[in-house]
Formats: sequence, C-alpha cells, structure tokens
Amino acid sequence: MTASLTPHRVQRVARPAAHPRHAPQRRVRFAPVTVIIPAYNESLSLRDTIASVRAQSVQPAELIVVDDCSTDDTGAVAESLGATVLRPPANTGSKAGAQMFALPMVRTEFTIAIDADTTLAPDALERLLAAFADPAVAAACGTVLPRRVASLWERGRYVEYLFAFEYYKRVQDHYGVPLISSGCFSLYRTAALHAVGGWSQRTLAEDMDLTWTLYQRGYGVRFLPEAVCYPIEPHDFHFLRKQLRRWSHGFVQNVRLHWRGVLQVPFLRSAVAVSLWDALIASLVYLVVLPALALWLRNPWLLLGYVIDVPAVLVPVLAGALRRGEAGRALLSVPAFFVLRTVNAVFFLRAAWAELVRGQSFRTYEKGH
Amino acid sequence: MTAGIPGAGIGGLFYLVNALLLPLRGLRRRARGEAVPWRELFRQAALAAGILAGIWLAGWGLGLWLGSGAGGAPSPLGAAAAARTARLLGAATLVVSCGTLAAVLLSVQLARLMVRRSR
Repeated sequence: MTASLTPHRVQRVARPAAHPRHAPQRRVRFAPVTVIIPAYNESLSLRDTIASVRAQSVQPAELIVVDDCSTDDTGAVAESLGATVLRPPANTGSKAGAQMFALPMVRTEFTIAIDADTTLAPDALERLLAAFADPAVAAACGTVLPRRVASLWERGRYVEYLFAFEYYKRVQDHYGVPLISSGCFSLYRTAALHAVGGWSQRTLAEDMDLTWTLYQRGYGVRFLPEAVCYPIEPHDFHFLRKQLRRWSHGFVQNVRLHWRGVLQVPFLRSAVAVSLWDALIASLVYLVVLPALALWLRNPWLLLGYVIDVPAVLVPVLAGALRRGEAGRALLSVPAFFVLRTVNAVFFLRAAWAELVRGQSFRTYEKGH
Repeated sequence: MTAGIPGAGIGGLFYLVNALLLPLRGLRRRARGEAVPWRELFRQAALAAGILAGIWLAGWGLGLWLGSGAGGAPSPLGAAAAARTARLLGAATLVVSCGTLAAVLLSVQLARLMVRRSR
C-alpha cells in the first residue's frame, strides 16, 4: 500500500481488487472529504447519487446519508450501498436540518453537500478540490444541469441553467463573488462551515444564506464550470410550484436578512440589487405593464417584448450547448425557457408581496421533486 | 436558482457591461502581478459582444419587419418613418435601461455609505 500527499491533500491508496490473484491492484485516490446526503423518501434516486459518488476519480473518505425519518426504504438502500446512515429522532423539517444533524460527525478537512436526487460527473469532486489550493476559499461549486430534459419545465430549466452557468456565474466568478454556492452540490472547508454555524434554517434558501454569510466573514467562494452535477428537476407544475415557491421566498428572505452585510461586499451588493430589481420591477413590467400597454394602445406587436431578447439568450445558451454537443436539444428547449421565465416572474412577485408587503414569511420546506 | 428573470431587465445589461470590462480587469490584475486567465476573460467578453450583436440584430430585424408592414398589413408610417421609429424606440430603451441601472447602482453605493456611517 502506498500513500502520498498532493497539494490538494489527495491520498493515493492502492485498493485491493475483487480477485487480487488475477487482477492488478486499482489505484484509488482518497481525499479528506465527507459527503453528506440529506434524504427524505429518496429511495428511487439515492442509488444513482451514491453510485456517482463511488465512481469519482477521487474518493471521499466518508459517505453519510441522513435518512430524515423517511417512510420508504431510503435508509436500507443507503446501507446496502455502504453508506453510513444517520437517522434523527424526528424529521428535521428541512434539508438544512438534516445536514446539520450530520455536521458534528464530520472529521475530515472538507465537507461536500449533495442532494439525494443529484448525480456527479466522474471528475466533479476532483475539480472542486482544486479550488482549495487557495487557503481563503471556503466553498466551491460547479455547473448544474438537469439530468432529464423532456418535459416543458425540465426544458425551460435546462436553458435557464445553460444561460446562467455559461454566462452570469462565470462573470460573477471573475469578480470573485459567485452569487450562490449551489445547495445541490458544493464543497466546503469544514472549519469554515463550523465557524459560520453551518447550514441555517432561518431562510428557505440555505445555500444562499450560507454563501452570503461566508462572504461577510471574509471567506472566498469559487465557481468551477468544469465540475458538473445533474439534479432531477421538477417534471410537472406540481413540483415546480413547490420549488419556485421555496426559491423565490428564500431569495427575498435572504435579502431581508443580509442586506446590511451584503452592502459591504463589492460586486455582490450590485449583483443582489440588480437581481432584486429584476425580480420586482422587471417582473411587474413583464406581467402587467407590457400586456396593459398592448391593450391600451391596441397594438399586439408590443407583446413581441416577451421574446425580443431571444437572440441575446441564444448566444450563451448555444455556446454552452455546442461544447456539450447538445445544440439541437437547446434549440428545441428555448421556447420552454420563455414560458418558465414568465412563471418565475409570477412566483417572485408573489413572494415579494407576501414577505415584504404583507409580512407573511413562508417557512414550510416543501420538496421540489 | 436565478433570481429575477434571466435575460430580461437590467440584469442582462449589468452582466453585459461587466463581461465587456473583464479584459480591463485582467490588465489591472496583471499589473498587480497576479496570474490572469486571459483565455477565459476574452471568452466571456466575446460572449458579451455576441449578445450585443444579437440585440442589434433583433432591433434591426424588428425595424425592417415593421417598416415592411408587420403581419402583412401595409405600414401606416411608410418604410422610412417606421425605421426612424424603430431607431428611436431602440435608443429610448437603451437610455432608460442604462439610466435605471445607473440609478440602482448609485442607490446601492449611497445605502452602503449610510449603513457604514450608522455603524
């Protein structure tokens, strides 16, 4: 058995093959990483998630599945695949709650959070680890793309993600401030995670809360586009509604919670202000002003405003899709993006109205798939 | 998640300007002796230039379409007047968008100063 330490503290260990007399030993590299997978009734998707973790080019030292009192056989599936299964005495009520249940058990330098419906590209973990050569970096995230692209909503999300991860997020990273280290797949320095109190349940977007807290404490966050993960996105409106409700309320809650601190972080303050403006004012223009104007002026051509930016959206989307050999899929999915964008606008307006005007904070964590 | 409505609004303009400024930012980093991922910076700037070209193309196409009589109906303004209207609309949209973005960013700076002073 051999072991060495690379700059990213990856230990190379020869793992005995299944039939040591006949097969050469396979060299497996281990990293001081603990994977935490919070799971509630995820037996159908968990198998793929764990398999993708086991197939990583760099192996995590520990794999913990938090079976958040599932009523299906999530725990049994995880155990059969060799994961350490933790079960809280009662359902924690949120993803952050389940993650926090596991955090005290983590003994490794790094902690990785993966959703139970998310699979990873084989080199995803190794690529994220590269960011931690910089001691200031506390979190790193990668590109997110829907695993299934079939329904209207999945297609809309596919284009939305291609646009966001090919364009917005890369620009944010060049300015040193990715807006969010995605909750479905992010790697953290465990000490930093402990220092900021881990994942909080005070908002419905625990990933945004954690990312903005890290910035305010002086930590760095990186986006590495080559580290790719594939979550299952909502395939119908029933699940999409839950997810968008959680995200839109979570965004408004985080702005309310962090606005003073965010104002002190260069670029982040501008990016958040612009996002908030678009979520409120642009949504209002999109949903109310444009159709009202078309009716008032009796000019239906004004409704072209809904799709006037098709060429602008297509440029980054096609750039990302071409590199993946998915140009046809992206072109076919573009109309769905404009439907999803309209629905997004409705949810953001409703969330802002409830949280900021009516003072009704939405706190129920509903699974989005 | 993407907050707001990606592509539309002042967010599109904000990221466009910031992407176009990336090579300049690279020069500043280089002057400080930092390693600069030039290829990535120029890639993002080129993407932004492509988006600008896409926006211009959309405006030009719209002007041409309206001038020729949209939807088959003859243009009430005539081709020249329609093209002028399209140009005017384009310019007005740009001025309003840039003005709004500048106002939002200025408000953020003012809020930052006020918060800092109150601490």
